[in-house]
Amino acid sequence: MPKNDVKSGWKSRITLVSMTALLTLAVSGLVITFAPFHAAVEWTVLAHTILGLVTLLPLLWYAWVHWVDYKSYGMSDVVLLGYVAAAAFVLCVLSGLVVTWQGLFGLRMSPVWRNVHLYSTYALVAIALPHVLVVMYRIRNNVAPRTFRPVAVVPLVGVLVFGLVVAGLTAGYNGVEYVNEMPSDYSYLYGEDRPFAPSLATTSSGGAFDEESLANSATCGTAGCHTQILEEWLPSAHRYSSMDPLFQKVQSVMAEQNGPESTRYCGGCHDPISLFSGTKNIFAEDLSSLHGYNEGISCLVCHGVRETDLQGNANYVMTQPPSYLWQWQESGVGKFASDFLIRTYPQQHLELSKRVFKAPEYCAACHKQFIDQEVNRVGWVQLQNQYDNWKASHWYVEDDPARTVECRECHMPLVDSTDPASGDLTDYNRTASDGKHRSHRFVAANTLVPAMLELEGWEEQVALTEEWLKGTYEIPEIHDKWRDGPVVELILDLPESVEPGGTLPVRLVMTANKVGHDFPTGPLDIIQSWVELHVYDQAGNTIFSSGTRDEKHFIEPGSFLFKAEPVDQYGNLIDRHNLWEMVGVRYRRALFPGYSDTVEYMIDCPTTVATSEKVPGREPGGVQTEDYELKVDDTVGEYTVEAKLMYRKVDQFLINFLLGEDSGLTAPVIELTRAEASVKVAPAEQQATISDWQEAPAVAPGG
Amino acid sequence: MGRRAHRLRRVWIWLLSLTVVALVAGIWIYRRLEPETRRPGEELPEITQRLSLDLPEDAPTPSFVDVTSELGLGGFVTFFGARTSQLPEDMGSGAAWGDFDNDGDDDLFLVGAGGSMDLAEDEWAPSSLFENDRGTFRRVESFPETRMLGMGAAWGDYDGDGWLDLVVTGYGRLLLFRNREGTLELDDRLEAPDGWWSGATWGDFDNDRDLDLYVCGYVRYQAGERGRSSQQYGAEVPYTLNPASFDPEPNLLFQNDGRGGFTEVAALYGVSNPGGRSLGALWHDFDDDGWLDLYVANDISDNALYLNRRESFEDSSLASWVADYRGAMGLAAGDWNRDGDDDLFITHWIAQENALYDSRLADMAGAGGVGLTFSDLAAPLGLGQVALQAVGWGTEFADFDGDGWLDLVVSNGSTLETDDEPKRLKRQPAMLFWNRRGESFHDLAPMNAELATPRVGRGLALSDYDLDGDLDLLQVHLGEGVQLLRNDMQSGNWLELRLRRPGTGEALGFTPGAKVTVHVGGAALRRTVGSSSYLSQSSQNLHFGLGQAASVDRIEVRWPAGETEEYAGVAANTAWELVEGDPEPRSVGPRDQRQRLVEFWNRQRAGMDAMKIDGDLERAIEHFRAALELNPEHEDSRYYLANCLVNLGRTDEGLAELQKLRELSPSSHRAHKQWGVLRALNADSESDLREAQAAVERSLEINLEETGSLLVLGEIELLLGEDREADEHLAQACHTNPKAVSGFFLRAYLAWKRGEEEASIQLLERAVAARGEEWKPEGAVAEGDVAQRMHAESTPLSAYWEGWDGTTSDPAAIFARLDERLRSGT
Repeated sequence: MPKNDVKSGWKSRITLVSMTALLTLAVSGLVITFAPFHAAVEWTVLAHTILGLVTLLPLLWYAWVHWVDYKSYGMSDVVLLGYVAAAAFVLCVLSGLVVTWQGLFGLRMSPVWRNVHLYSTYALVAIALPHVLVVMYRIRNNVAPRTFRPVAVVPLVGVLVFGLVVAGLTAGYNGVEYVNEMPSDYSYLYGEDRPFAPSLATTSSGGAFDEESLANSATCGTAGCHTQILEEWLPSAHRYSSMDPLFQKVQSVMAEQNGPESTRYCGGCHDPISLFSGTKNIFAEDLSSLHGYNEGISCLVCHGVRETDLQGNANYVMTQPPSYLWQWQESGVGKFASDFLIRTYPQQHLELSKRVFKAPEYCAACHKQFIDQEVNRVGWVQLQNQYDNWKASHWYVEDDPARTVECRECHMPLVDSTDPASGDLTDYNRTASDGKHRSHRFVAANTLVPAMLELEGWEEQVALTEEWLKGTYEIPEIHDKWRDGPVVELILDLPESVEPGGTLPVRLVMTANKVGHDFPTGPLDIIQSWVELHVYDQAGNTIFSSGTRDEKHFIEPGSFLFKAEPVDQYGNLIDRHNLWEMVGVRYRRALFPGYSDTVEYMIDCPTTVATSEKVPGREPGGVQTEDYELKVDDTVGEYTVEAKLMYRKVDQFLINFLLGEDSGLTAPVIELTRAEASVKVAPAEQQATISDWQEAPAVAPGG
Repeated sequence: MGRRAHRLRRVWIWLLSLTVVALVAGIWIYRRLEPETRRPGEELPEITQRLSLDLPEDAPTPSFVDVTSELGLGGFVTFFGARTSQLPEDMGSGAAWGDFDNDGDDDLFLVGAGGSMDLAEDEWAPSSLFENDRGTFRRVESFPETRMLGMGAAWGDYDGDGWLDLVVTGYGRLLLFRNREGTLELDDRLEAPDGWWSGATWGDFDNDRDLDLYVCGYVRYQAGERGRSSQQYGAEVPYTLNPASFDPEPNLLFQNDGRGGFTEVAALYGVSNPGGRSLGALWHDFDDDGWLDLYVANDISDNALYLNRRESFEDSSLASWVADYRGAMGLAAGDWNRDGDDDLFITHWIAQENALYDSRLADMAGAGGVGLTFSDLAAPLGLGQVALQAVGWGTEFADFDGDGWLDLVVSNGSTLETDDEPKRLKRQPAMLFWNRRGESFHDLAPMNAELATPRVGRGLALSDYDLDGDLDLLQVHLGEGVQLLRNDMQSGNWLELRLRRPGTGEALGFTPGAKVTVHVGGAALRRTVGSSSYLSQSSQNLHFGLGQAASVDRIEVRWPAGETEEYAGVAANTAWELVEGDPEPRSVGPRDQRQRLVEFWNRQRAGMDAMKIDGDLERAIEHFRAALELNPEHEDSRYYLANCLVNLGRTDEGLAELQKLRELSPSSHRAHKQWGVLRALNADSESDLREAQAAVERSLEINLEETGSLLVLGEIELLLGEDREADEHLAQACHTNPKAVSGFFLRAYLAWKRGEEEASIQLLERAVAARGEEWKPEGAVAEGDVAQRMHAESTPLSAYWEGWDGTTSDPAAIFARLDERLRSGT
């Protein structure tokens, strides 16, 4: 039986409040879901959340009262719709509370709960509407027409008021306003349509980007979000790509010798924030802007790239990701609200993660370089190119991820993660909840700069880089398709024996083992890897050496080096990274993945062999032992051959040129691997009798 | 029922509201009641700092960038050895900006403080003259070696020939250097008694249009009991470090007779200040009567103000309320509040605050009979208390941010030894006081890492060394070197004025003491040529910050010993030269610099295009020469100019250009190597070859790892008949460089010459391999890949190995021509 004192009737206050709240929440929710990213929508998210929290109790109260009012009704279609709507309502409220909680205090909003909130809203709207309309239809003749008016009008007015409030808030503050303008005296040397030439990098608008819009990487690591990734990035080569003192010096030499505008060539990859803000200009005192200098390849530089071209040389298009309200604030209410918006309204933020980031072709935009006539006025020259050699090597097997090793798999290995972006379903060997993210250290070969600049966390970066260079860095997830052992394997090939006074031929075979591109890989005018070879007799005397460094840190002439000697058109050395003058190379030497190179040494041996000397000794008790002489045949003995493969990031001339000869600086030298073997020394007639001598073994650690 | 339900609802609402209120209140109360741990340095309402002014929101960011090393001043060191705790080691030293070579930019003289008094004189750090070369600095090697316990320096054109001469002071030294059209020579015309000479300042006090010189004497130091301690203003300091332990040294005034002679007249004019331990003095017309007055800063004795009464000086120190008893070091004069008179800023010892003596001249104008007085406003303006912990030295007034108001900068550094390491003096951060529209000063230095880094500061001087329209800052740090901070904080418009007068020679003379008032938008900005700082001298060019004004209304110049002239308004953001008697200002400013820069690059690029793209070497040479006129130090222009000349057969001219490049850039590998190759290619004698050999060896010394020089060296040695050395160098190159065709070929020749035919053929085969294409895996690319070879290496013997047909079987035939050439000698 119907009750007489219905509290949730058509005109009751609680009904009007509840219906207004429900309609406003539903409409604003749909706006949030379907409208494009805009400051107004961000305000809508905040207003929606506040409205939901404020009206939570009235809505629950209404639901309770409404049930009490009609619980005695017998089961009917309307009643059934009511119960189902109630269930949807409960789900909607619950999921709304959960996502609000996650947005306020969590690291990310769970997509499951977000969907529950969305779909329960759909259900609620879809069920509650017939529930109401059916009743209205059935009682249309029993009540005055005015009865329905408030419940039809008030909620609409509520939505309108809500919209006006949001519009007002948006007019009051709509986020960071970027100044996307070139300096008034900007030099368009290569035409107004190519403001960033000779770099191939460009922006989606074709014009300047406010440097702020691509910077502020630190804000990504606050609030516990991408903290680990930020820490990894801080001492990484991507971070110091601009502040690297060597880059800065080369840039200023280029500006002095070839014109400030030409440094834009470097800026596309080394210093994009400065490039796009128009800092690399003829009258500029500094060619790197503050943000550009500090952040190099910032978070948003990589994550803001829209497309890249296989040509390389920074051939990419940069977008200016729209920022969230208060996004660049580092603390306070604004920061809190900004984090809340990123978590609860993440569409725009998720745009920053793209499938293309996995593609080696994406990395190739900067890891593939050339110069052409626009730069050297002479003609095209290939420079460092990690991509094409990887693609041509055995590390690439089309369509077979289990046999292909791509850039990120080595240089961005998986690490344990608390990051909200951990897990990935789109990598063949990963899951959505593997609790890992790809390291943003980009560990490779530079132990010089992080230490020189003492960047945050440089010790760990340098330690990992040394491990990397020595081939001891473990990457479990690709263990079954990568190689063990050193980056380059060494095998010493020696004769079994040599005569005193004869010539000892030493062959050293070097094979690229782990490396995914050439070893070493460019720029080869700067980077050096060389063989340091020593031959010792048993007394430890050096019979021969090659590849040692003098007191000024230069490698001795005649050493075996992996490097290149690029030249200008008169055959003079490109020694200051003055690529604008480079037209070719005198020679270059590097190992293609899986391939070998050999060096031979012909060593003149002395006519006698020193063995370890016997000297008068003392026993522990202090008793003088008797002197004795050991008769040794000084034509018989053994030589030890030791070969080491050394590596340094920057040659000594360049260090001297850029940082001053008096700086006393030199690049750290890393011993990548070594091999050792021995060869017996005896006159030809005695060699046969010394049969128990071990055959000279070829030793390569790990190999 | 209805009433009950109604009640129930009300109860619910109340209950819920109360719960919410109680919850919020509970949290608030809990947070308030929980006591916070005391943090050192936390601000408490009970403690006030009325004299410490908070930084206003509109304060600019003090952007100063350390460019010392980058610009070539990093190698200068003020002090050698370890301190021995004696006063003469601790007081220096200063620096002086002046355009000694008349090329339009300020050069820099740096006084070396010498070093430990236990060291011999020739072991002390020398003073150095640095030439400003378009914003970078190069030591002038021709400047006479000057080693002493140096103090200060000041540029002044005493002979009126338009070239700045230099006076340098020190412990037991007073040196004068005469400038003969850009070359400084020691000049002995100053007859000074033995003494410890500190601040020196040039000024035409007798208005006879030549410069006179005032030199401060500090104390009569006697090395004595080093262990003994004594009291300095109540602080315990070693006896030998306490100026109060020693008698003051009277000061000197050298009057210039205009014919090249100086007479010492300090006592005669009553300005010898025998009771003052003087560290600095400033000529400045404080009372605006057209005659230079003199203010003397004394340590541990009263300061003195001598007003110039034409025939004599009147000691007005007490009457003018500036006989400051505190330990005074640095001096600066300027109209900080734009009230129409010049005020005086003095830096002091620790616990003595700074002093800003505000002149009351303008306020008292019209009040007949009232003399010049000053009142110290440092404390209420925010300049006093902030300096209590600091020992202030060099200081200047300057409008660093270009807002039209004179800011102040102070270099600080203690005279007290550090507790844990007595060989070092305590370091203190510098201070940069921003003048907030004449209302207050605020120290911005803590916002700049360079200024905030504690140092033992002494000298300080300002100059727009890079001609970009703002004043840059140079500080001398005792025991270290100097620090040049480029000013990047100026945001407003600006104006620079260079004041000159016709000199006795062709060059225009300088005008210390000239007073300028720039009228802009109702404000009068006053500046005077001449400065003192501490043992230092700032630029003689005048800088004005103009804020938003794009031009100035008029300029008034009161020439020293001359008339007052007025100039019509000029545009902002430019440097102008005003010449006495010439009503037309001449633009000399960076606007021209910019045009020059643009013109340079247009020429340079046109040269490169003509040479590399069009192959028009004549035109390229023209462009390169024009570019080098604008920037004689441009290496690429000179290198390509030389190569163009050589390619046109003008080898000697090319060699001369490369020689200039070798001198300009001694570490230029390509300059040495290319010069050596060309010299060898065109050698007429053994000595030519020896010169070539030396040049190539130099290139090898610069970069030992390069094989190009080794190969060329081997060829030159072959030409010189040094076969063994040649073989060694060629072998080294071949072992590193697998493409060294010449190396293998010439070693094959040497093997053949030695009669080792088999070895020779093997080496020829390797030369063939080196000449051939490199093998590469399919799809692989390599650095240096080109579509076609675009470089040529001409070496002394390249004709022989390049002309070889690639056969290997008959060495005798292959090497016949080469052998004949080498046997014929040079």
